[in-house]
Amino acid sequence: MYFLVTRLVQASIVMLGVALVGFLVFQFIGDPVLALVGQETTIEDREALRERLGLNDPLLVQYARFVGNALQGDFGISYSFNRDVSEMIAERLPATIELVLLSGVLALALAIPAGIYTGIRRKGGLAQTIMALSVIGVSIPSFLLGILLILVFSVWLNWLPSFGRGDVGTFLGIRSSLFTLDGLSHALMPAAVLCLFQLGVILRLIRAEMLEVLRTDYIRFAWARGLPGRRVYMHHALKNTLVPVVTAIGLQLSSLFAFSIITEKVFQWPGMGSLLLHAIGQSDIPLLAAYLIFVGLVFTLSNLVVDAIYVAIDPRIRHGGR
Amino acid sequence: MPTSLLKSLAVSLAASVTLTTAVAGALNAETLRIASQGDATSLDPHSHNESFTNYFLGNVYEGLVGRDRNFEIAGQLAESWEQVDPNTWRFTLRPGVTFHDGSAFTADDVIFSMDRALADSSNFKHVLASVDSYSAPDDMTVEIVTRAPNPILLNDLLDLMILDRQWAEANEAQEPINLQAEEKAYSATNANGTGPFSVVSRAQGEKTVLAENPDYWGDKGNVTEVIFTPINNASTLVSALLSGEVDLVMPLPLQDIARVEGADGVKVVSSPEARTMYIGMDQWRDQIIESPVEGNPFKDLRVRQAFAHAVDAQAIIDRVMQGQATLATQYVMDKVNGFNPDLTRLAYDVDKAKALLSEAGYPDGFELTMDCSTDRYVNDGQICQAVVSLLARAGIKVNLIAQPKAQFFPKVVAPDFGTSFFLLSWTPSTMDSLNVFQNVLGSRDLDNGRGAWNISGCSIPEADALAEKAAVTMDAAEREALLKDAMALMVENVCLVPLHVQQLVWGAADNIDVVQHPTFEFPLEYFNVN
Repeated sequence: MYFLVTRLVQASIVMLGVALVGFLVFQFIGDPVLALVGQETTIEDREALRERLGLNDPLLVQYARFVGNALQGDFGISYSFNRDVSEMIAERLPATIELVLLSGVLALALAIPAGIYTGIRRKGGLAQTIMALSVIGVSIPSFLLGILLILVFSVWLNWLPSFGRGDVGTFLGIRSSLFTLDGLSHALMPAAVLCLFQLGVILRLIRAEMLEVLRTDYIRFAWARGLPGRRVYMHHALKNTLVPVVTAIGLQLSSLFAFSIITEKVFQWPGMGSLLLHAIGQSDIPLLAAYLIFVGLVFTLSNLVVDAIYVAIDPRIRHGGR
Repeated sequence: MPTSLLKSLAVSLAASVTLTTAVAGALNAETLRIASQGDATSLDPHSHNESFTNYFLGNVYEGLVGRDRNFEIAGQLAESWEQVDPNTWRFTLRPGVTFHDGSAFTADDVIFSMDRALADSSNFKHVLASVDSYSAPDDMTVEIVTRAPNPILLNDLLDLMILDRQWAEANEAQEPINLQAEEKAYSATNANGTGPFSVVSRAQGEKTVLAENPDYWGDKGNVTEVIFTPINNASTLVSALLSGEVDLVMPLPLQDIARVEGADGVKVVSSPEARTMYIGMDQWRDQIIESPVEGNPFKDLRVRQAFAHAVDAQAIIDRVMQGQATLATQYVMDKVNGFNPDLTRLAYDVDKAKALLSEAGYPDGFELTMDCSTDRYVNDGQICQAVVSLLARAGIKVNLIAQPKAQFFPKVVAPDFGTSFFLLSWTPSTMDSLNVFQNVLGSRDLDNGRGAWNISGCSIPEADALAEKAAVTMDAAEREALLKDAMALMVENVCLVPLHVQQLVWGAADNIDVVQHPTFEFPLEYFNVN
């Protein structure tokens, strides 16, 4: 318990820092007033708008106002959309979560079995092939892969739609495009692109950890005791690889949110990433700040969860360090 | 596990195949699916003065006057007009027109829309800058009184969209969107105009659906539904056209022209656009900035001429613009009123450029810095790189600052005008060169609203006088002659180095007929799906 409380305090300090950095960076991103007005707007009108938006106040005042409002969930009104930022994020979030979930599930479902397999049969032909493919997965930039997939599956084969999110269905009160065939066909390519990098990384990590653990004495003793292979691999070996693997997965899955920016752009997926790109183009400061804080929150929370899982997996952490 | 997953993947793949075919089959022949790299920034017609937004909304809202199929000014909500005296215009409104929600269009709506366009939060005050007062003598008549005779009042009014007073008041949208916190903007996401199409659904940055207005007063093509999708990524945009998921892509990225031309079932449609690209040279500072040179070489006409001779604009068109541009002889294109057909470019001639530089006292050239945006105009970054290497041949060493528009514009515009050498362009929204004299070419006089975009600070008082005279000359021929003379003076003095006139390039499915206007308007009522 004490452990979790300290982590929570650390997390809030991190969030305040994120807010400060974000706020400062956005002071230099460009002049939102110029992005808002047309070429024929007079200089006086521009100045009046600057005053109305509070852009003439001292930086500290702007920052304090920003944090105060953010704590109440109010990120202001987007300069370029004229709408509540929190409302817009709430609208776009489901699309990104869908994509991240689908690709996360895909990545884990493929990486864990493949990692264990290549760890055990490291000389086999299949294992070698999987390893070679995983190098490709880690090294091809996602935008290139996305464009290639579109070319093959949309332009040449005409099998899958090249852009956008499909029809939305409702299941157990949740509205998501993953519940319709049209929605799945739209989500498949972006999710595949997004998962490939994570897949490669997680797979290679599990494999390396498996190789490490399989060399240890207690595994030899387990074999010597005549335990069946399945029990040795899954119970004795895999469980002891989990601490670093869970850390990596936690970080990787939260970075899916960040990676999704490029994938969303390539596939015109109407999620948070494309919202961010629009905001950057328009110097839409309230939107940018809210996005940064949101991503900071995702990272901080997933680290908290990872820490909590450690405690469950490895009792040494609960007592260690003191 | 992997095998079963593969199987389910295969199943969903197969399912999606049948699904896409089903969708394609069910498509109504009169649905037009359009994609573009950007989206309209708002549905409020008085809030953002940005060309794409204006022209998108031109399909939903109408003005008193508009452009017909041949780009001539024609009556839209005004059926006819007359000039009672040099300052007074009387517009007779079109009877029997209704807004999309069914309410009747009257003179009161015009008055309301003009009030709204003049509100503090409006971005369209310039439209009524010459107007002194306006009134509605009866339900079907509007009178506009100008401060001084304004020969291009009709051009000014092109951008003034008319809203319904009752609708706006019922939804608290009496004023254009106010960016002050706490204000929600109904009119940013909803629209109620009199145009040929009404907005059915709107998800900004995602998808906008328009449906034909069955009660539209004018002629219309056969398009009954328009699905508009913004697609940021150029290659995805073109893929969507090639795979038949969209019917029209505008604009088509230049690097993909060959790809679309080589593909079956799609075509490239292009025509000159009203945007003229030019290079600007600081002529107002006594010492140019970001350069080691002493003083300001650009104050010498010979140096400006040398720059014009040194820049091979045709090479830029061929290499950078992939041939999709035409040489500019002056600071407006030929469809703009006031274009002077007698003017010619200074020919590309490096030796001449070197000779002129020597005469001016710079036999070894000099060094300076160029400011350039990278995401505002078609291939703007590459144009600047080409200019840099072309000038190097004449001995001018240019340090290029290529920057996103978000950094570029705050640096170069008023009040700092923080550049001595730059690439910029202008589209006269009125399609009349007076607009260029007022904003770009006229001597800087910010208090009187002239020359706010005259970043080079060039000043030819004689041309200013001609333009001022043209502004109040009602006789069309006399006025045009004045504007032509003023343009000739600017070109003689090499106020700016004109580069090229951009082409408007769209990609379309073979069965789509489109109408292109030099202003990037896309009047969907003239489009047809065959």
